[in-house]
Amino acid sequence: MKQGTYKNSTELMNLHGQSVYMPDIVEACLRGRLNLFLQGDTGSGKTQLMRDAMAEFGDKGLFILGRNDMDTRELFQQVNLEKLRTGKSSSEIRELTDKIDHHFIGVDELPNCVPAVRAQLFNLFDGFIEINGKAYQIGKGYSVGIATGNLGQKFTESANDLGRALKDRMHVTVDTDYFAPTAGDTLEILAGNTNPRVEFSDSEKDNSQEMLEKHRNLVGTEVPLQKLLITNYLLHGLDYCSKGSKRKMKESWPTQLANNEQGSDVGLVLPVSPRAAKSVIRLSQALDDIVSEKGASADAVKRGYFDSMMQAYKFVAAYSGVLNDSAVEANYDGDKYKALDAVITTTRTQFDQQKENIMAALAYASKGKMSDKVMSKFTGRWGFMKDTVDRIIKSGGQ
Amino acid sequence: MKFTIPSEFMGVTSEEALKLAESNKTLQNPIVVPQAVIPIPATNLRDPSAYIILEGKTHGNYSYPDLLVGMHRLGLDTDVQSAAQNLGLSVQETGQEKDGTKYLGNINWEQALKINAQLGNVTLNPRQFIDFKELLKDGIGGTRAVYDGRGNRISSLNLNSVYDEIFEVRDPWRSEWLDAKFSKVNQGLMATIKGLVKGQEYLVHYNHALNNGSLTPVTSEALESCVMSDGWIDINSFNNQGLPTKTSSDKRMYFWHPVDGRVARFLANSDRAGLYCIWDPSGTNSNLGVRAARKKI
Repeated sequence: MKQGTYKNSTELMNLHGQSVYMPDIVEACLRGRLNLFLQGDTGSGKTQLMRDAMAEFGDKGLFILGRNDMDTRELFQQVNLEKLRTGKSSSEIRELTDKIDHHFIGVDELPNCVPAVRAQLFNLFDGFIEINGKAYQIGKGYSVGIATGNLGQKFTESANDLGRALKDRMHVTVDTDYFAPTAGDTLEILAGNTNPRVEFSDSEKDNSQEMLEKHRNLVGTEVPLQKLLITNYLLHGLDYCSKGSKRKMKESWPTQLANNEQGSDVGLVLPVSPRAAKSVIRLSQALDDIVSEKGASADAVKRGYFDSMMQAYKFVAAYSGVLNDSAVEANYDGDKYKALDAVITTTRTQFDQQKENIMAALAYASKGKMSDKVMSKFTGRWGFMKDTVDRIIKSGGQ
Repeated sequence: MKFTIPSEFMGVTSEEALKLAESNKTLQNPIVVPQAVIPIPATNLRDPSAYIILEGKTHGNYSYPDLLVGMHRLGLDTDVQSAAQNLGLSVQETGQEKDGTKYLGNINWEQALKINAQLGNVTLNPRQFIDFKELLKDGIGGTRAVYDGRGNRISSLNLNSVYDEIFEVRDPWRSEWLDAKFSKVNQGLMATIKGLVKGQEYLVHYNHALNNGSLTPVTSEALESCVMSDGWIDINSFNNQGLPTKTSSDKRMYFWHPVDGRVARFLANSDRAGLYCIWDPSGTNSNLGVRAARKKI
C-alpha cells in the first residue's frame, strides 16, 4: 500500500527482523482478502487508514458512511442497483450486478447501520449481494471490506447482535486504540495540516489489478505443512482440557475446569473456529509476503513460520470471542492482545518442547511409517498429532 | 490431497530428529501440567514500567526466580540517596546513557553491590546477565514477547535501545558491575570441594547479600569448566555460571578469564564489548555503574 495520509510509527509486531505497522496489516488483509474491522475511539485514525486503503482501488473502491436512517433502498442506490427495487427477473438482476465491479467496500461507522443494511454490507464485503433470497456475485472475483466503528465494551457482549455479526463476518479486527500514533507522529500530522477532517486521498492511480495479482499469488502458493500443523494445534491442541474438550463443555467452560487449569491457557482461551483457522493461515502468508518485500530473507521467513502464524493468530483471535473475558479483565487489565501474548508464550513453550518429536514424526511419515516411540510423546493437548500424522501418511506425503 | 513434508521444523532438521528418535536418548517428554501464562504485574516497585521481567530459569543445579531487571543502570533518587547514606557512602550520577538517562558512577564493586542489597535489590550475576542479553535479543527479533514490570509488552525498538546501551561497540566507554568474585582455592582445601577440576582450581562466589554490614556470598562453588585465557569467545557457549566454554574468531564478545581475587563486570567501548572477570574490585570510573534487579513479587 502506498504511503497515504495516515501516519503511525507504532510497531504492531516485529516479524523476521522487520517492523510491521498498521498500514502493513491493512495491506496484509487486502492481499489475503480478509475483511477487516478497525475498532477504536474517535480520532484514533481508523477512518483515515480505511480511506488510504480505498485509494489503492481507484474507482473500484466504494465508500459508505454508516447511518441509522439508511435503508437497503439507499444502499442499493449507492451501489447503482436502485433498478432492482422494481422487481426484475434473475437474468436481468445478474446483468445489473455483473456491472458492479467494486473490489473494495469501505464502511465508516458500521455500528450505526440497522441490521438489514449491515447484513447486505457484509455480503458486499464477501463479494455478493442478496436479492429475493438469491446471491449474485459482484466485484469480479475479488472483493474485500474494511469497516470502522467504536464498540467499546459492547463488542464482547455475547447477547449483542452486532458483536456476534462482526465475529461471524469480519476476519480480522484491530483495536486502533492499542496502537495509537506516537507523539512524534502527531507532531508531524499537526505540523503538516490542521484540517480536522478526514483527508480523502486522490485516487491518482487504480492499483487494484496489482492488488488482485498479489492476492492471486498468495492463494496460489502452497501452505507449508508446518503452518498446517500449527493451525491444527490452534484447533485441537487448544481444545484439550482435563474434561476432554472445551468445546463440548459449552457453558461450563471455564468454571468447571480443574484448579491448575484455571490460571493457565486452558482456562484463558478456547480453540479457534475452522473459519478463523483459515484466516490465520491467510494472514500469516500475507504477512510473510510483506516482510519479505521489506527485506526479510527467505531463510528467515521459513525459519519463522511459527512467528508469523502466532502474530496472525493474535490479530484474528483477539476479538473473535475465544478469550475468557473475565480472566482477561482480571489478569490483563482487559487487554486482549496482552492476554494473547501470554497464550502465545505458552504455545511457544509447548512447541519448543515438542519440535524434535514433531519433526521425527514427519520424517517417519515421509517414509510411510509411524514410530510408536515418537507418537507416545504426543499426549494430552498433543493427542491430535496421531490422526494428523496418520492422514499425512495416507496422503502419500513426502 | 498430498502433503509436502518439510525437512525442518522450528530449527530441527529431519536428520537430527531421526537421529535422536533412533538413539537410546530419551525423547523430550511433553509438558503435563499446563503452564501459567499470566505475566502478573510486579507489586514491589515504585515504577514497574522501568523494569523488564526476566523469567526465572534453571541452569544445571542453579536456578533463580522471576526477576525484574532495570532498563537503565541505577540512578540517583531519594531511596538510593538514603541507602547510600545508611552505608556511609556519598554517591553521584556521573554516567550518562545514550538516551540521556544518568546513572551512578565512581562506585567500586563492593559499594555497588551493597547499595543494591540495601535497596532490597540484587545485582545480576554473569548467568543472569547472559540470560538478560538473550531475552533482549529474542525480544528485538520478535521471537519472544518481553514484558515490563506492569505486564505490558515492550516494543522491539525500546528493547533495542536497552540492548545497544549495554552491548553496542561505540564510544563512550561504559560498564556495569556483575555479582561474581573469583578466588583460587587453598591447596589444603582442594580435596574437600566437590566439582573442582584439577588444573582449574577456582571458586566463584555470587548471590552476595548484606550480613551485618558486610557483603557475603550466599553461593560459593567450584568454577565450572570455562575458557581460561583472554580472547574472543563463542557467544553461544556459556556454562551454568554464565562463563564461556569456547573461543571464537568472530570477534563478537571478548572475555578476560577469572583471576584470583578479581570480580566480574561487563564493558563496551569503541573497540569491543566484553565480559571481564579480571577486574580489581576496588576500581572505579565515572561510567562504571550497576544495574538493579529485584525478585518479582
